[in-house]
Amino acid sequence: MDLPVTASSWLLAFLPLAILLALMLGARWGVAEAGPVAWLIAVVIAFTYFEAPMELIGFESAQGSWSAITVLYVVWASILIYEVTEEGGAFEPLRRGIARLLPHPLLQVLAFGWAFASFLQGVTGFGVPVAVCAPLLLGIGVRPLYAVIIPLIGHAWNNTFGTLAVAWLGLKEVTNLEGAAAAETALYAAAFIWVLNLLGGFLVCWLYKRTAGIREGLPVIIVMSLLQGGLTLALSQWNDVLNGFIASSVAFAAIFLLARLPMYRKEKPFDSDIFRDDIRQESGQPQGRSAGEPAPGSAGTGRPADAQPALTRDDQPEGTGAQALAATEEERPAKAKRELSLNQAFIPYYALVVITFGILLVPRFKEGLSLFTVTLSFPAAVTGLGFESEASEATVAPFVHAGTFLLLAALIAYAVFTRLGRMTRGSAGRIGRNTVAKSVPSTIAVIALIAMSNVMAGSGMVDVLAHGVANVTGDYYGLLAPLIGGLGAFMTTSNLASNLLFGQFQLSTAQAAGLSTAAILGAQTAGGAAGNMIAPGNVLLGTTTTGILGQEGAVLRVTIPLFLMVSAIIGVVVYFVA
Amino acid sequence: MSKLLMVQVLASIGALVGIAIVYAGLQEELGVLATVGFVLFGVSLLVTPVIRLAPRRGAGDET
Repeated sequence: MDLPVTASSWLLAFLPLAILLALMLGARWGVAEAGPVAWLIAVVIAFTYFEAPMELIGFESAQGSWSAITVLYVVWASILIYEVTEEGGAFEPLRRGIARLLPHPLLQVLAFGWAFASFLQGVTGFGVPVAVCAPLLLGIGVRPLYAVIIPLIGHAWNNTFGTLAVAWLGLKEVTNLEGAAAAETALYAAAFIWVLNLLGGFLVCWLYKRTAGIREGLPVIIVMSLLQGGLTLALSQWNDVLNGFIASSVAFAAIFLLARLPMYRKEKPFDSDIFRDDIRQESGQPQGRSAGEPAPGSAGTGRPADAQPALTRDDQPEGTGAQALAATEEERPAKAKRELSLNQAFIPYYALVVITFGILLVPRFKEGLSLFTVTLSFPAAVTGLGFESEASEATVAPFVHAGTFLLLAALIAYAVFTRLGRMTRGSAGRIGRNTVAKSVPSTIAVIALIAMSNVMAGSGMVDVLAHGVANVTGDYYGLLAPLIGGLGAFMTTSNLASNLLFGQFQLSTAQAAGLSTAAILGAQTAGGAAGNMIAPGNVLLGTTTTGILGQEGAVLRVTIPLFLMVSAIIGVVVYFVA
Repeated sequence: MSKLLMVQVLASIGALVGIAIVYAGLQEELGVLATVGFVLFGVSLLVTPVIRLAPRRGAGDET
């Protein structure tokens, strides 16, 4: 049964999200602090206004917490692989090795933050691209805040057709799409995603050095986007499961060929302010300005405004950077052993790719390992207002879970680094303690966020939000279709969950309004993909693995405008074609 | 390990234990158990915002 949608019911349904955003963006609280408050408000409103019984709230909170544990498994394992790499002393040789292959610093940033993040999204997903690439960017000298923002932007496009198209398949399943209708929807989805991909490339270059960065990176943006977005679009009509994986793999290989272009072959100074001061100094560049110095681009700097990055050092909240990271880390003894080669330094990530490929792309392995599952069941429920939620089961197959791939890769890396003499007495203890110190603070945040989303969905608040938007917009609904998809991803940190949550609703609304269902559903999943870069769960993965937990608001101040821009562009296109 | 981190560890454990009790209580239709679990879950979640709002007594107190 649909709930009556009024201005007051809509505003009350929106209140938990409004409080969450206000605390994070306005009061600069971290998700770990704002999330529980938003959960509590959602519970109170669900119980008092939407007449959700406490049993329903309890089961929805439990289901959310169960989902949170599967997300946290990725967080914990990602931090472990980072700590093993760090303890093995692999980041410095990795930085030097990549610098030899890709002498241009912008290409290094694009390689890790766009190409590799997209490739990982093509294979694993579940936040792994952010959790893995943010520390890698940190390792090549990128400031923590940018190290989080860049892969968030870079990987988002591949959320629909990446991870072997799990989000796309979910949309097809929930809307019964098949045949020509599925092909047409895939075409729209891939076209909209291409917009996100192209803008993502531009924004990474803009963050690097504003317009000067875009000028430097333009050939890479064009070629990479043609390969990532264009190939995904073209292949969507041939194979809508492998297209994202193939496109991102080809593009990742291509960036090393692009590095051979004359303009990228020479070593360039690390003169972008996205790099830490020590890296800039090593490269012979002046340090980033300190508090009290004139703002970049203002009189007295002697540097053109368009050569400045989007976020300057002073825009970053206190405690960011190496100091914050160091504050949570136990002191490591200096390594006196021979430095690792690039290939040796990359062992944790080679192991991750091989394990993931070996399990996910070999059907016999995947099917065998998927047999062991853990399932919790949740009964059907109905609120006092008559909103019904069906009985459901939440199943996890731990052996084919992304967290297991990361955990295995970390263990393999530890064994290899030990054999190479990189681990010393006390290494295991330091890795364990640092992993706990970094992963624990995000635990509460992830649990609170997902529990809040479930309470909102189960009590009908999400339904009221979506129907309210549809009722108000009428014929203009197409403009907001990507925003609905983005809202779903924001709340669930998953393109798949967004498609499952809103796919049927978008289809029904499009049919009722006489709009093109293919365009609306394409906008739904593209909006869901874009929503991943503003999803607090994903942001948390980055801030946790780079040691800047609590500064999620600073990240969102960059990614939310990009999300709104992408949604607006897709919305306008949908409005005209639907 | 700082006091703040220890509190967060305890809060995380409390939240996970609390929600497990909620699930068990609801499945077995034991209202008291579910209520106790829900209170434990809620209190554990709200520890971090309460710490945020609590007046700071000095940097030395956190370590």
